[in-house]
Amino acid sequence: MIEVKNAVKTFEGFRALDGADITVPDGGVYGLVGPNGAGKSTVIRHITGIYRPDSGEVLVEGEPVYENPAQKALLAAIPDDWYYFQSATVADMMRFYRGFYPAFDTARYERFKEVFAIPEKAVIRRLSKGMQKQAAFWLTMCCRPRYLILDEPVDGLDPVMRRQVWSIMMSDVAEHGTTVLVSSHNLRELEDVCDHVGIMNKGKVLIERSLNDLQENIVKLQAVWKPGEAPVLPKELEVLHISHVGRVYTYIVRGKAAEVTARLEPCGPLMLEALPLSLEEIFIYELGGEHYAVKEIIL
Amino acid sequence: MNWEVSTMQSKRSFFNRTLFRKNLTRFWPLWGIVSAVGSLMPLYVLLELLNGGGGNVTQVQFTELLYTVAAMAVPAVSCAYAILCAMLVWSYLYSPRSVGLMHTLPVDRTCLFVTSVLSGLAMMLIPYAVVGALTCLIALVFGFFDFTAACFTVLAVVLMTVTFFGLATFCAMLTGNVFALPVLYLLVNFLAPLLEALVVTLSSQFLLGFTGSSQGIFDFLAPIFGIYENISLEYVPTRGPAEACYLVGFGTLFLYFLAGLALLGLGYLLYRRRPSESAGDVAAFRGLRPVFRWGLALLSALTLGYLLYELFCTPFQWGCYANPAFMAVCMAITGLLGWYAASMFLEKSLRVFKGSLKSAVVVCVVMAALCFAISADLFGIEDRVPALEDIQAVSIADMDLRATYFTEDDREMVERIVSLHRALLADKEGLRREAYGDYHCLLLTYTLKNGTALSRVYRFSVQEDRLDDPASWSAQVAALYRDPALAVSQVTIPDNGTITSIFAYDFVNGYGEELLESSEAQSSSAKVLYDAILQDAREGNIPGPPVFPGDGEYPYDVRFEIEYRTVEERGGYQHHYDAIQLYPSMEHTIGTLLDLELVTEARVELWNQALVEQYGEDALG
Amino acid sequence: MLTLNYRDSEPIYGQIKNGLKKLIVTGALAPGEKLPSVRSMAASLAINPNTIQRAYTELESDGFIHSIPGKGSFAGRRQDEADQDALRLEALLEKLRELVAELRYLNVTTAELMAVVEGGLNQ
Repeated sequence: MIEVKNAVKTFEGFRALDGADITVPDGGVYGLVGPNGAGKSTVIRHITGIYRPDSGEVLVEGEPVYENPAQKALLAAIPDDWYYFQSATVADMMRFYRGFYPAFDTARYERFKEVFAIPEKAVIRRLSKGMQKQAAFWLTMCCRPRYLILDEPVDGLDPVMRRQVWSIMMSDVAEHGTTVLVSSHNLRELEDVCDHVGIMNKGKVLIERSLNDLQENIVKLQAVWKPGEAPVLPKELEVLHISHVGRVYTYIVRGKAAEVTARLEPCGPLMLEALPLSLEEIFIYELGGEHYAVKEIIL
Repeated sequence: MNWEVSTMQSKRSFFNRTLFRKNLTRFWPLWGIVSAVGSLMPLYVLLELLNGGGGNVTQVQFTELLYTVAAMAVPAVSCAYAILCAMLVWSYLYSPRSVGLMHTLPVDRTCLFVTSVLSGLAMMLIPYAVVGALTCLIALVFGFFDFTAACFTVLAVVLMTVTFFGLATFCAMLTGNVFALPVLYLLVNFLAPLLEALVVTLSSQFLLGFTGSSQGIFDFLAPIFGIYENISLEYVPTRGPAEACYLVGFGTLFLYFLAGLALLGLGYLLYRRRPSESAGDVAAFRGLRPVFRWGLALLSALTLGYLLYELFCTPFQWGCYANPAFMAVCMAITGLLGWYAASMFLEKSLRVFKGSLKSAVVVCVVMAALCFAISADLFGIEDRVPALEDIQAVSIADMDLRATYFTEDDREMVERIVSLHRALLADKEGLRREAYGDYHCLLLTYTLKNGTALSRVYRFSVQEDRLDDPASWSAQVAALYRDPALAVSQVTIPDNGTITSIFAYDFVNGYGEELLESSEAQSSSAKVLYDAILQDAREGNIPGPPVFPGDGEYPYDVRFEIEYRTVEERGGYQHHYDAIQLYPSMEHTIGTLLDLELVTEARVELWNQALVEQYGEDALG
Repeated sequence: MLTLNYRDSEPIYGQIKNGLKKLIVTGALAPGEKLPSVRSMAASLAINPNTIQRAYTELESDGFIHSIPGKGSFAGRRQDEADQDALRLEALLEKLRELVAELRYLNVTTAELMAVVEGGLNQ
């Protein structure tokens, strides 16, 4: 389990982390989402042991990870800008990683050669950004980490490769119980793979819940009212957002679908339908309450 | 593969082989090229041997070669090479991407530090090993190998390597920017003598008499200076063909080595506390930021401030000494410039002026205060005149007057010079008021019994109206310069000296014609001539330096060169050389020349004619 | 065998659950036929295995599939459960035959019997 407890980190007066709390349970996929500058990359760098928090704790399996090779050996990370040596080939970087990670699986490295279709003698610097990312995945997966930390992982990969990469990771999660922490903007993709989600903004984690919980506790209702004014909704309903196109009103309400529907029916709508929200929508509406300017763009 | 097995970390490792190997293979161009260039030396030796016959080189010559390289080349090479190795080995600290990789890997900083230091030292020693091995191989093949010499050379190389690499690593830990590192290293290497030189130069603009030559007290803080000053070769015997050769100065090398180790230790401690996010920043630690700001402000004020003053304020200054107020303004302006430049580097932005008014004022005040402190002569440098009992020797020099020495045996002259010095200091205002165009530039150098030296230089023009006041410096200068004792001192050779030769050259015809070339064999004529010159000196026939412009007599274009040697304490001889110009008034010398039939009357007539041609009828007066 | 519509607003596990249910009900997955393992499904669809596990668990509690530890998940109820139900069915039907026989003996007409049965069905 990875835990970040009330981590605070200031860079020259800027509070990048302002009491962030994250708990990544074992054997699952945790998606860390948030707007740019929320502190996702910063918290990831704390988890991988690059930064040390000004206060608070960053623990892996109960032990602080900073300057702790034993814990770091359990982690492998792919940052958004992966570092490789100037003239290194994939094989060179493989040998380098092998010298540090005790669990490095050379057999797996060989097996993945066909999967990733990059010649191992290729100089990484000369590959396209997408292929460099693939190489990063290739090597990192061979480290057989217990915890895989990914910062904007599939940026730059083509759809086929993306699927392939997720497929491998999910297989590891199923078979070996690998825990994955992934930070991304691509919520549609995260939705398929995550079972836990943490939403970050301004250095704090606003919401951290299993995806089920999130999806079950917020509902989109579409209602058509009788001609005339739309009724005021019952006060007990926590309405996050109201919009309408013509007479079709859309409400985003916190609560379970069945309960909220039941609450609204007495108001006498002509039509009432409860729809589940995508992760993207949840993200937008949850943050909308945090003064994150979400403007409706009319296309 | 089952990852449960992997978590059994049995022991903590301090060294990572993969990283070490990677460093050496990654940076092979550096140590490869240095090795190749260094190998040219043994290659050259080999070619020489093959051409000139290999049987003639002795073991002592081999030893001398090794030690000469160790004493002359290795310090400078190590100093420069160390920073290159450090820049490469620590390069991962200077970019956020590489810091990320290295600190994500399952190793702690101790392991990274140890491995990197060993990589750097290995890179430094490989070229030496290659060159050394080649040289020793050649020596073995040609039969002049000396094992002891090789060992001592290796020792010297290792000591110096650790010294400079330790210093370079320490600097590497202080900064986060790869370009700032070599600048910092250079600065730290020469900081003490540099600062001293700057302060001394500035002081010489304010302090009356201060010559602006550094004492070199702090030179030991610059390893390169300290090493070069203390390392040397010694031969046994000291003269003649050497039978043995020794490298002297291991004590110094060892001290610097310890300092290098200490700096490595400090570097390690710094690394442990260094925040990874400092990659790319000029100052790796927050506490270093004011150091950088003030440091740059100070350096800027001391160098550019002086420059600014020279450019704009010198026309306005009164006399040849700087105006403290103007200099303070220049130093304040340039100090501020340095301060803001430092801020720009630290903030990585040009917008550093907001809210900085208070700091700006403080900087200006401090720089101005520094300027006034220097100009105020807080250490009483201006008035420092050594006590008579402390003086071992004193010399005076002034334009035409070459440095003339008086030792403590010549008490009267020493007293007179000291008295002149005091008289000059009693009239500071007058001396300061002098502008350019001073006729005299008197350089006084005291050699004190404790081994130090004190130099002062005073510019003045002798004032005719003060000549009748014996206490005034004008009168004392006049009296001194007209005293035959000066000439006598110039001519006289010390007691422990023996004349080796006297040459006389006649340049009147435009080319040097030897009148007399004497070696021991003809010492009798040489001695007679020398005595004649001495007598002329005693009788005041040799004119002293001119007191007033227009004074002075004109010499023939005839010159004597007296060479003599003295026996040194450490054994061996020291050769000295005096040159005396021939004046028409030197009757004894001319008479002796005629007696010895070295010149004819006709020639003397020629000399006279040449003199009149050049300087007019008065010349012969 | 399953196609998922990633753009559908219905959550993925719902799609999996319903997709599998449909396959079982239509007989495309015959009773007793082995379902793909959670791992292989996660890998082939590139989705979270926990999600798939949840779908399987719910399908099992709804009675559409059953899993045997160490062997995997299979369509349909467990064989012995199915057998038990069959036995119980037999037992109940037998009781019904006996009741009918006794009622006939007490001279209840077919029409009266049918009315009772219909009344029971309508409840």
